[in-house]
Amino acid sequence: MKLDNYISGYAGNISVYIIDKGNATLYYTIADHLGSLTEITDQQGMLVQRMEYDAWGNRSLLTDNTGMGDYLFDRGYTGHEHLDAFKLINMNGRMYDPVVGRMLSPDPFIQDPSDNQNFNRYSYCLNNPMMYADPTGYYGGGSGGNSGGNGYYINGIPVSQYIFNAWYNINLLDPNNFALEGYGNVLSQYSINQREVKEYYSRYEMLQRFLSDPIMAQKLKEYNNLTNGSATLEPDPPYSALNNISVHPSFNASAYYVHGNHLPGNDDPPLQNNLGGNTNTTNTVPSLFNWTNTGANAAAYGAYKVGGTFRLMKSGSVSLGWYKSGWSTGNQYVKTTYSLSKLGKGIGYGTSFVGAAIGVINFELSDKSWGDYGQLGMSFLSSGLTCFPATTLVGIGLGAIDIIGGFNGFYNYLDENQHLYNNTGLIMIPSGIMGIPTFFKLK
Amino acid sequence: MIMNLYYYLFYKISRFLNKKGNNEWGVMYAFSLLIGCNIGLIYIKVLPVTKENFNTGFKTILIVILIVLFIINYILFLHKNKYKYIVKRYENETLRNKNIGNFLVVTYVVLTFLSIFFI
Repeated sequence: MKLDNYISGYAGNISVYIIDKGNATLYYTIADHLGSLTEITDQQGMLVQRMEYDAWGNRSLLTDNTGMGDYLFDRGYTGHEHLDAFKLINMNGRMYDPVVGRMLSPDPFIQDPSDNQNFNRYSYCLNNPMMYADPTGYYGGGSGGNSGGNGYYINGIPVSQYIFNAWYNINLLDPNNFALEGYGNVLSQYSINQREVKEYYSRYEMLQRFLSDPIMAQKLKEYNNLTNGSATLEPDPPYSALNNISVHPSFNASAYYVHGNHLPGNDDPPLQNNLGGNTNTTNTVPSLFNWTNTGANAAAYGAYKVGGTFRLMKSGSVSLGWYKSGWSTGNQYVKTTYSLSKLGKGIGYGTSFVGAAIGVINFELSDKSWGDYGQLGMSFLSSGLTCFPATTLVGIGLGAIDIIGGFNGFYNYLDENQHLYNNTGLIMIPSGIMGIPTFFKLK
Repeated sequence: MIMNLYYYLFYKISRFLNKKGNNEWGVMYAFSLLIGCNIGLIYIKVLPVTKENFNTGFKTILIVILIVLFIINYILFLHKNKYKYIVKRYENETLRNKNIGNFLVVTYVVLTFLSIFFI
């Protein structure tokens, strides 16, 4: 049994006292301005290990005089615990993913409402990791100064535009035929991409889209420490293909991770409904993968990867009840939002329809002057445009303008009698207000 | 029988407006508008509705009727994606039936359109 005692002083961690099988060793640590451990020395001051970090906390070993080829202990970036098996950093309050520079769960606190960076609940240290650290996982702290950050961009596109939150599988053409573990987390723009996330959860296009970007594919490979092989997507398996998954024992309490074990033959038609059979430790979800992980790398990842496993990294605390209605709390949220959007769509189309029909009846009852014809034409035009997806918004927009009398001047211009046009009424206004935003979301 | 005609009309409009399968609401809209125009015309012809008294309550009642029509159509067609079954039901109609159906539906639509101007 190995016991690591981290001894802290005013400036953070200063030494580590390791007791391993009865042998006690004291190491001293040197940290950078953020508290990241950069050098480890022994009691004589001789360098034992030297590490470096990129801006977002990915750790690499520069010098290793121990001969073990691995980090001496888990603490590293900003003094926090690295979970190398998951390539995550435990920020105490939340888990942080240095690969994408995002937390896995939203921040329950808004540290500074006057800074709009705070409203990105998944961002790390106001997107300014060079200046700030996040000792608690909730509140950032640092050397002060301007907190403005530019976010994290890949290929000119904010990472948040990519929907990482997925299970992706890379079948590498390397000698080990090693199928990578895929994971993702919910990114900052999750909230506005809810429907997209929902769709891509169940659709394979997300994976294709992900891999179609060479930089993202390369990023994925780098993240998995692979230099060889190319990323290819497995054929889309049937949605009903299930894996049995279970919460990893190490994380049972907080349950941030759910691991799936895909054993050979599990591609067979499922015996269980994917939404049923929940217990505290097991569950079933549809698999997007066809695992071929038989290489030596499997062992390196420990039991939770052997045999081809996947993990579902979710934000927030995991309740397996999630899976009763979706794949995650995120999906539950998406589902709700989707319903509301459908309601909005119904209201949009419904009120537009009522407006157009009343417009026709108005014409029926009118003197059929040129102005009336103009209004009828506008009704036809707006309703016709509303019928086609590409022009729906234009149709609704025209209808909305007509409803509030925006075209009355035009009708009066046509109508020498200066007829006062009786528009459909205020009932149509919700069409514009509620319908239009939801069309964007639902199309 | 009447419901079958109703479904068939929806199917035909669906074939016209929803070829890509992503415009079920547009179909709903057009279909409801057609039926709504018919109902509105009958409404103003059967009841003593004039240009002057239309705004005194007749319009509100008609709006309520139209909203109910839209909700009923939603329940009949879009709720739980029932329209997919309706489309599937008529998809395999014979060529003869298809031609007759097309003719009847086009006639109905044209008559509805003309009725707006000439009744």
